[in-house]
Amino acid sequence: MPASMMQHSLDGVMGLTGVRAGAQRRWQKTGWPDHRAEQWRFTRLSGLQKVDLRFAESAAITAENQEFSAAMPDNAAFLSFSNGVFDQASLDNLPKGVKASLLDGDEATLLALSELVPQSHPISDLSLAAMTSGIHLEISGAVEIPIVLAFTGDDNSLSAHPVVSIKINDGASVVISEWHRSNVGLSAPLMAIEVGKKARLDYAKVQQDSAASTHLSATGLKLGDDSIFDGFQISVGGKLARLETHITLAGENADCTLSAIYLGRSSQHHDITTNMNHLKGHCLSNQVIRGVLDDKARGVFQGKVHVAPDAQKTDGQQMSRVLLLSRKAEADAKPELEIYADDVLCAHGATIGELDETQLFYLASRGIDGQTARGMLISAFLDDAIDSIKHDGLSAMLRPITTAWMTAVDLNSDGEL
Amino acid sequence: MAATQKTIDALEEATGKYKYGFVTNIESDKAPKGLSEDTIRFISAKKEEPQWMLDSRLKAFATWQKMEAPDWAKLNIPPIDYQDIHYYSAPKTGGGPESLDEVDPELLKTYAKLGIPLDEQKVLAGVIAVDAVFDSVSVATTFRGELSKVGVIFCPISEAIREYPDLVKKYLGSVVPVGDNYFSALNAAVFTDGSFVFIPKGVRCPMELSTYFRINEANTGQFERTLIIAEEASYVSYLEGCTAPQRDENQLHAAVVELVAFDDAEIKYSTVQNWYPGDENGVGGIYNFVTKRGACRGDRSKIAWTQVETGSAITWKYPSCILQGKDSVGEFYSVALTNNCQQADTGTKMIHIGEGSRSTIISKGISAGRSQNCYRGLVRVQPGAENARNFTQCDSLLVGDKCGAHTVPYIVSRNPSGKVEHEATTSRISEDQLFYCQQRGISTEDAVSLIVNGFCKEVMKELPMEFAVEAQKLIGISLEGSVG
Amino acid sequence: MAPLLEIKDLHASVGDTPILKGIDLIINTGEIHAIMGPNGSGKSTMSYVLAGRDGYEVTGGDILMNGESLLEMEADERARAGMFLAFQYPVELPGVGGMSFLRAAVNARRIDAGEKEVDQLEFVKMVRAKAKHLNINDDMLKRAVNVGFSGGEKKRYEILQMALLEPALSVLDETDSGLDVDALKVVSEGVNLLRDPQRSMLVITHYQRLLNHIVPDYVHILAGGKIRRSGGKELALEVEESGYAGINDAA
Repeated sequence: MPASMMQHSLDGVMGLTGVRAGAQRRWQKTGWPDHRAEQWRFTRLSGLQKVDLRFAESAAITAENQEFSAAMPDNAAFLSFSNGVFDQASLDNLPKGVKASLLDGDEATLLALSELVPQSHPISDLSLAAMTSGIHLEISGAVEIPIVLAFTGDDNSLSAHPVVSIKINDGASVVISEWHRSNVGLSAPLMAIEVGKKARLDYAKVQQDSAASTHLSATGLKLGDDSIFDGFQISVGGKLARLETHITLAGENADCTLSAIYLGRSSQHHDITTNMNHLKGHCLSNQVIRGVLDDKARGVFQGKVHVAPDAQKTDGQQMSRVLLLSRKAEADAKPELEIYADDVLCAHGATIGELDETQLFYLASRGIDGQTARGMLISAFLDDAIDSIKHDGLSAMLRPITTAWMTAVDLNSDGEL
Repeated sequence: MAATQKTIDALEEATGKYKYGFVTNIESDKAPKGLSEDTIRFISAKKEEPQWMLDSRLKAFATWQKMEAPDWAKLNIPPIDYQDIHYYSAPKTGGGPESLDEVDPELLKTYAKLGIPLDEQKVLAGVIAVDAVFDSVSVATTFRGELSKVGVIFCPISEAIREYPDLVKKYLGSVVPVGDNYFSALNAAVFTDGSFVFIPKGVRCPMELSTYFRINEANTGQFERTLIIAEEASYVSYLEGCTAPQRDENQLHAAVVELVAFDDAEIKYSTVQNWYPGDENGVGGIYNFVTKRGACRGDRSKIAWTQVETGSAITWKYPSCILQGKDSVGEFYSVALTNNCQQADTGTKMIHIGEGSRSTIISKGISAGRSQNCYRGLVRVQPGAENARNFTQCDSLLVGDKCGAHTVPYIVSRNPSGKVEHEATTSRISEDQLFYCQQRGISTEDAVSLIVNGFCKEVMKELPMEFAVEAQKLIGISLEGSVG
Repeated sequence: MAPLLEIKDLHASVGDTPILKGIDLIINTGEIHAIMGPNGSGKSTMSYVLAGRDGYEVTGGDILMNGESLLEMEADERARAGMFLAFQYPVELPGVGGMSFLRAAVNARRIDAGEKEVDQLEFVKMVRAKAKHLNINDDMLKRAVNVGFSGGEKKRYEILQMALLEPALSVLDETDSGLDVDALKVVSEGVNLLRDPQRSMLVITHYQRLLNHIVPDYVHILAGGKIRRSGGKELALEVEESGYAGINDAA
């Protein structure tokens, strides 16, 4: 394989046909977005164009990997990817109601996937073409056991391009979490999830990649009539991370939540980008994005709520709140409403600031010292978000992550940061 | 507002839907179509400009030629043939008028139809000084004598270039540099007239200053340039109104407005923009590409933009504030109403640089017909802007189900002590509200106008009284036919 | 002379659901009629049908005011012809100043009648005089229509509008709902002040208690979309004692 595959050349990936060949052509034509791309104005990828990364070809089971498995809830079923390569052995413990197959050569599923993932997105093309492993899951009935998609990796000279397609059949329900704790140079997962009529998905994504990793993900979801999606993302790892999710509300009465937390320190860059596309009427979408930024970290939230002309009685709500803990931190927000139907209730809000003076004073007046008070308020800010997760198992899984992050915050500073 | 009522009555008689769509029959003196260095030399010569001004224009032209028209706005802009436009058009009356007696009576009639109180006798009670810009030139500036007694300069900018070259050289292009954007570069090359205002230290301008812009000639671009300087502890309120006759061709308007406020100075800039919006099928109408920016250079200085935008086929406009001074204040109050096939992409930028700087943004967008209405704004808090505050409220109202309402705020905060708050809502006029008004005997059309004006109230109350009444009526007129 | 209001075999539907199934009622000038009925009997539908709200479709029969049919008239035309509805849930109009709203309503009627529009100063005096009886102060008049009003304030504001518009027929839709005893008294007194041989009222209510304050000449019991019984004010007391049970069958 050529060394320059992070550039426009994907020639090394030979013999692609069909959908993947199309993705390869698009990638070679467009490549990484440059500074003129409006969608990438707050998150520049110029650094990526300079690095040479290899696509992994085989999984590596490392000590880190085993340790990671130990941290997981023990009643869950694991599907493991290592360096972006799927560990087939993990198919042995699939819960009842879940059917798995490989995406290689499954042209019909690949086509469906390519239509669901974010369009005109570099990862949608690159990861589809470079797919290090691809699996398809089909969910029927009520699946009792939570499924964890675990992504690990040990080689910083590699780029991982796992592709996952999930189809949740009408009336089915399932709990899925996507957990990234990898040390590859570029982690670029591509996901497509279809939630059928009256189906329910409780979903959490954890981005806890290593400090040297870049994480760029592209996820597409489609929700059917009367379906419920309760999703939560937490971005805490990586050097630069962008979690981009496009949701299409394609049926009536769908109920969709996609909330997120990002936690940044040192010179981390977190980007949460969402696109909520209301195609049909009577749907509800709700997003609450919270960020806490310390040191020189930068946080970005871009969220678009799009309401199509026929999507009457839409209720679309979006809120972004950021706490800046340091003088050098930066927060950017671009919450966007694009509305073509008149009988709708849409609102968004955004706030950026430091901890509330009045609240701090109130706590001080009750005899609580500044350090404790700041800790209490930041924790409360994050707990609020975690508490909103409806599935107890998922909130229990995520809470330790924010708690662990908090222990390293320097609470001594009293505003003179 | 007898004058306003008279205007409306006269116009209703004279024209169809667009109440300002009449053409004045006067001979005009205009440059041949097309844009080249020669056009610029022609304009400069007509204006009897000094060499430095011509040089600056030619430099701007060179810059413009290297630039590309922006395409990031949510606008569908048909290609513009810059060679098919007259860049200079002046009523043929010889040199600039010294007093109203010298102004062509036809022109005065036009302004009377527009309801501008040009006739000083009649407006003594109104205390408004008017600089009227007709196509490319200023035709009359009233009350100059009275203003000069307190040291206020209010004159056409072409005159200021000749009479006050030092002031103009110092400030022109200091807030909106030539290459700031495509349209500002074009304006810097071909601007023909506009107003110049200078308020000396400690002076509270004794009356509202006003400019009325009107595009009359066919295929004429209007490129006015306005510069307002408020020295320490001075105050001025400036009003701007715009109309254009009804024509099928699209006419181009690319203005640049620069404001500079020093310590403790305050500038209030209000606009009612009612350029011809095109007909109900989107034929004709003005393309309005405007760069307006104010620099709060001094501590505790304040700049407030208020705009009511009901006209133009396309509006591209972002009146902004650069809040450099400590505790400086920027405000933006906007009503943008689009109907039929109009498109508007408008908003503001608030750049917080100074410590304790504060900004408020209140935007009310109303979309009706098949129109598209977009709020686009940037709030940026720079690292040094300790304790900066911004509050933004953007509300959209949809009238009918064929239009679109969009909100695109950009928020960048680089100081933890800064506090930025943004809220936006989208709603429509509810059946309940309409029925309630109807049950009280108010017709549907009046009810819509009443409810929309209520929706805009926070902005309307920022307008000077004289303008507010007119603006309220405009909203009613602009919404005609929007409810079946 | 034709009665003020004559409802003849009125049938009306909301969507595909028939609600009113043949109402006959005559109200003469100066009379106060009360319509009582259980929840879902069609009381509110009747008020909306009279006022001409979109979506309330008359499928049969007629409504005549002074001998002329209202069916072809829009809601605002009916209002200007003298039909007033005091809403059960008055609607908020954010940003719309109370005084300008009231003046627009009064002037719409005057213009229709070929009268002179009322000027601002005179109007303020007029409103203040009427507002006093209803305990409505200047602060409330300055606010936007119904925005931030309590339940009681909203109802008093409805009666103020009734006083200003001087309608020939006022329909009071559950004016007592959500009011405590004191508020009910203020509102009723306001209504009673407007009693006049030239004006008629149709008071729609679920409970008899309102009729202790606004004493009607006639009482009708509406159930299942039809008037089941009619009588004098004593009929209201009868219902208070024995309830609506059985009335459906009593037709």
